[in-house]
Parts: sequence; C-alpha cells; structure tokens
Amino acid sequence: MSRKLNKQDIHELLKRCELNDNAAQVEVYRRYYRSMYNIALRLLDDSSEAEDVMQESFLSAFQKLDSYSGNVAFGAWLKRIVINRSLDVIKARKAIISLDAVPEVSDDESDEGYVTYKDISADDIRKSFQSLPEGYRIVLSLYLIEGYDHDEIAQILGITSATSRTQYHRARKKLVGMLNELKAVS
Amino acid sequence: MSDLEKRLLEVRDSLDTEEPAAGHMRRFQQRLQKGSGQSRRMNLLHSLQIAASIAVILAAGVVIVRSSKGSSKMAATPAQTEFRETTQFYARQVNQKYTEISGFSFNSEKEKEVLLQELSNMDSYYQDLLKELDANPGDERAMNALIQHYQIKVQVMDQIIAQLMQLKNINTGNNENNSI
Repeated sequence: MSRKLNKQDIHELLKRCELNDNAAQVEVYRRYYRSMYNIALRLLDDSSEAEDVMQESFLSAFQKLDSYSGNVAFGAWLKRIVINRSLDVIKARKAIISLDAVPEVSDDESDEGYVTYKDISADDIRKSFQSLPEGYRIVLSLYLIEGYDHDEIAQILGITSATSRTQYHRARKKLVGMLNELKAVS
Repeated sequence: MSDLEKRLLEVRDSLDTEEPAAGHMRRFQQRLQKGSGQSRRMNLLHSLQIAASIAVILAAGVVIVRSSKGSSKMAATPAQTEFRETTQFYARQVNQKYTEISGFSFNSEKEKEVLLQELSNMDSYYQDLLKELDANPGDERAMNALIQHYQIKVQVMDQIIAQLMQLKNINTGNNENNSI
C-alpha cells in the first residue's frame, strides 16, 4: 500500500472507488472494516456471519457510490448499510425481531443500581451485550453504541418510536442487572 | 445523560476491538476482484455498444452526405493526397491495434468472437463511406466522415485494449495470490 494512498482524503478515495480502482477500494476497506465488523458482530453475535455481512456491505457500497450524496459521513452511510444487512440476516434466520417477545422486566425506574460505572470495562460491556436476548441487544446497540435516536431506530426496525423507547428501557434494565452480577462475581 | 451512557461513551472506541478471522483481507480482495472482473467485462461490452452506436451515427452521416451529394465537391488534388496519407496512417494504427487485441487471452472464445465481429462491423460502415466517396470524389464531408470514423475506431480500440490489459492484470494478480 503506497504512503500516498494511506494519506489520501476519503472523498478522493471514493472517487477512485467509483472508477473501480481496486487499490482505493482496499484502502477504504482497511480504514473501516474493524468498526463495521464490530457493528455487525454486536447485532449478529456470529463472527462468520458478521464478516460476510461486513464484506458484502462494502461491495454494495462501492456499487452504489453514485447514490452517496456526501451529506453524511461515509462511515455513517456505510454503517447504515451494515445494520440493514445484519437485520436482513437476522430476519432470514427466522428469528424475526420480535421486540415484544423478550422477557418482561419490571418498570421500576431505579435501574441506576450500578453506582460505580467507572469500574465497568469495555470487556464487561461486550460480554453483557453478548448475553442479552437478541431484541434487547439490537435496540441497545443501536441506541447506546451506534448513537441512533428512537425515531431513527423506529425507522430501521420498522417499529414505532414509543416501542423503541419502551424496549430500550427494558433492555437497559437488563443490562444494568447483568453488569451488577458481573461485579458481584468479581 | 446517565452515568451508564457516559461510561459507554468513554469506552466506545474500546468496544470495536474484535477482528474478523485471519485472512479476511485476502477474502475481501477475492470478492472485490470477482465483482470488478464482472464489472470490467460489462465495460468491455459497453465499449462495443459505443462502437456500434458510433458506427451507426457515422453511417447516418453517409446518408446525409448522399442526400446532399454534389453540393460540396472539391476538385483539389492536394486535399485528396492529404486525405490519402491520413487514412493510410490511421489504417496502419487500426491494423496494429487489431493484432494487439487478437493477441489477448479472453474469458471465452465467444467474447473474443463478439468483439472482433463488432470491430469488423465497423469496417462495413467504412466500406459504405468509401463507396460514397467513390461516387463523390473529393467530397469534403465524406472525407471528414472517413477520418472521423478512423479516429473514433482507434479511440474505441485503445479503450478496449486498456480494459483487456486491466483484466489481464487482475488475472495475473489472482494467479499470484493463488500461488502464495
């Protein structure tokens, strides 16, 4: 990989990608693959499927670069493709994202039981996410980690904003409970 | 923002540390090249379509020239001499490029056949133009149409050679990857 390509502005790289420049496409992949893979992995909880979705998302993005307006960062645009493809895989598993099917949790608002959040490591959070029911994991990932608001999550998942909020609060309580358990064990 | 959300923001970058299985970069490049190969094959066919379209446009030009024949005849021999030299120059170029294209290995014999057939079809329009010029010796528009025909044909052939070269490089790259 040339030094010049390494330092090239993303917009210049994307122009080259549009012309099917393989070196530029590989450079874009090199820059974004890790974050895109982790997004897919959090949603799918399967490393093989996550790699497949991640790579197919890059190919799809390169094919439809002419529709990328540049109004949002390329990473954000690509992330949306990864999320949509991940959700397609989840649907194809026949595990339709049934947000109402996840276990009920008390609506008690005192979910801030974990008072020492500074003790929580990234690894604790990763493990807890992996243990969450799929529906909870998806909503929490999209809201807490990917930074979407409830209107955007509603659009992505095809649910109402109110449902997204409700499920988020339930999922969050579940996560806090898990983090508490982790701390109690350690 | 709650303490949990604040903490997640603090560790956000540390959450993206998982790596795909070893060899993912190679697997991606393979997918990429497979896709690009298809895309470039389409570009090649696209070039042929362009060539065919241009040839049709030039043929239409012949009709226009024919319909207005006699209106712009040139008797000047120097112009005809210059025209002959120009066409001889382009004819040599076309022959060289034709030989170059024939020497490439194609994905299939069918593809090669289609490509060379399309180039030959362009020549049939050239023959029409020559007949038109015979009927109207020294006609400036007919001579210009013939030179334009050659220029466009050379450009199209250059484009085809560039794409065949890219395909060749991809195939060479694939073979190198496979041998590693």
